[in-house]
Amino acid sequence: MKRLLRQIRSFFYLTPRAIRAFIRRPGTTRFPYEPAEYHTAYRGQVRAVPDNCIGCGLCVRDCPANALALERRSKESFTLRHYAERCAYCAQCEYSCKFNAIYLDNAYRPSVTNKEKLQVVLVDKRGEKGR
Amino acid sequence: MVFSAYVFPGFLFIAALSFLFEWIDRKMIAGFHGRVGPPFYQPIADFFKLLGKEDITPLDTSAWLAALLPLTALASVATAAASIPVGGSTVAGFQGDFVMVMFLLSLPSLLYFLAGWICSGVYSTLGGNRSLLQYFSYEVLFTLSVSGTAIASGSWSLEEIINHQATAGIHAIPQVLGLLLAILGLIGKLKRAPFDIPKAKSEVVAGPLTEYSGKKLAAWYLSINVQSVTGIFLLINCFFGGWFTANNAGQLGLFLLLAVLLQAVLSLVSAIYARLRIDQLIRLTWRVLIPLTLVQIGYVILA
Repeated sequence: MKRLLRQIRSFFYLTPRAIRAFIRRPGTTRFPYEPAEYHTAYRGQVRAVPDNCIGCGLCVRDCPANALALERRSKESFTLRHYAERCAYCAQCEYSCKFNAIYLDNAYRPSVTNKEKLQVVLVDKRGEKGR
Repeated sequence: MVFSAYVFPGFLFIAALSFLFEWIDRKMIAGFHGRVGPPFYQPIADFFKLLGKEDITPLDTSAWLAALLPLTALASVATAAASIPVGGSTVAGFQGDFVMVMFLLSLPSLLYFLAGWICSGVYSTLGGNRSLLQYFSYEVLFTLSVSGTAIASGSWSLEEIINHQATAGIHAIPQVLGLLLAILGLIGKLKRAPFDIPKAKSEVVAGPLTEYSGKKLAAWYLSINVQSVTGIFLLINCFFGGWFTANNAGQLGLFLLLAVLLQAVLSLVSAIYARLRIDQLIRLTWRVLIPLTLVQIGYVILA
């Protein structure tokens, strides 16, 4: 008898939980129409602080996926590019940078139809000569 | 007559309601899962998207039969829907339309089996066989439990069942066991969880509909949706019919509210219970549920 009662109770075990979930605020959002909330540790897009960057190339040297490219024209004039299709989002560049100039924020990268859009110019510094 | 057959309680109304009820179903299940769920136009968008998709028929499959089966299923459930009173108004009713509705509502399940049988795909054949195995368990349950209302009313006509309830009180109170069993039978008939053995996603992909695509799949989905709405309306007419004798807007609203409540019960059941195995289902129905139905019918006959 006790066993039967326990079985019957186990049969309705999920019902109050489901109704509670129905009444509460849902755990998901309608993403493209509403902003999505990501965890602060989520490694999303690669961003840079151009004022801090001196173009030392440490991030380019340490990048395991070869996703960063530094084009140096002179001491003052250089361009740092990021190739998102190669990037592994490991944040090695963030750890390598000694000037806090490159970091990964937790923004989601939307998909693109044009592959060219995956190339992002992170830092573009023009020297005094303006080359 | 043309208006009533095609527009108000007829096919267009039922088809629009079937999309609405599919949305309610998906939204409710999402709510029980803690998700947001689709917007209200999602089922219609899915339907029209399917109409535009490429229509593929696998090799060794009869193309005309593959196209005929969903259309026959749709026609049979639409005919059944035409005989069912919606909030007191009906397209065409006659003596014995109850039996016809029961037959026409069970026809799509047989066609579902055939859809799997004609396909060369393994999942389709397996799903079709499972559908037929399941057919012999829930169909007896559903027919017996709903027949209790016809026996109590002394007529096989839906209109007579409704009129009898108007004088003698609704059947849902003395036959509450029959109502619960009929809901379980309806879940089996619609192949919803936990009785979704023929189309178990993790085992047989989509069952008999695995190889279907495009317009034929859209016709299948529409027929299943219309079958769902028709089954819900049949239960409401048989068990709560006494409240819907006059034909006015208030009664139609109450009717639809009851239908939404019944749909919510179906959604809750499919959200919280896991799929049964085929042997568990057959043991449950033949050892527990069908004897309970017989008890209910015995009570109806003796009372």
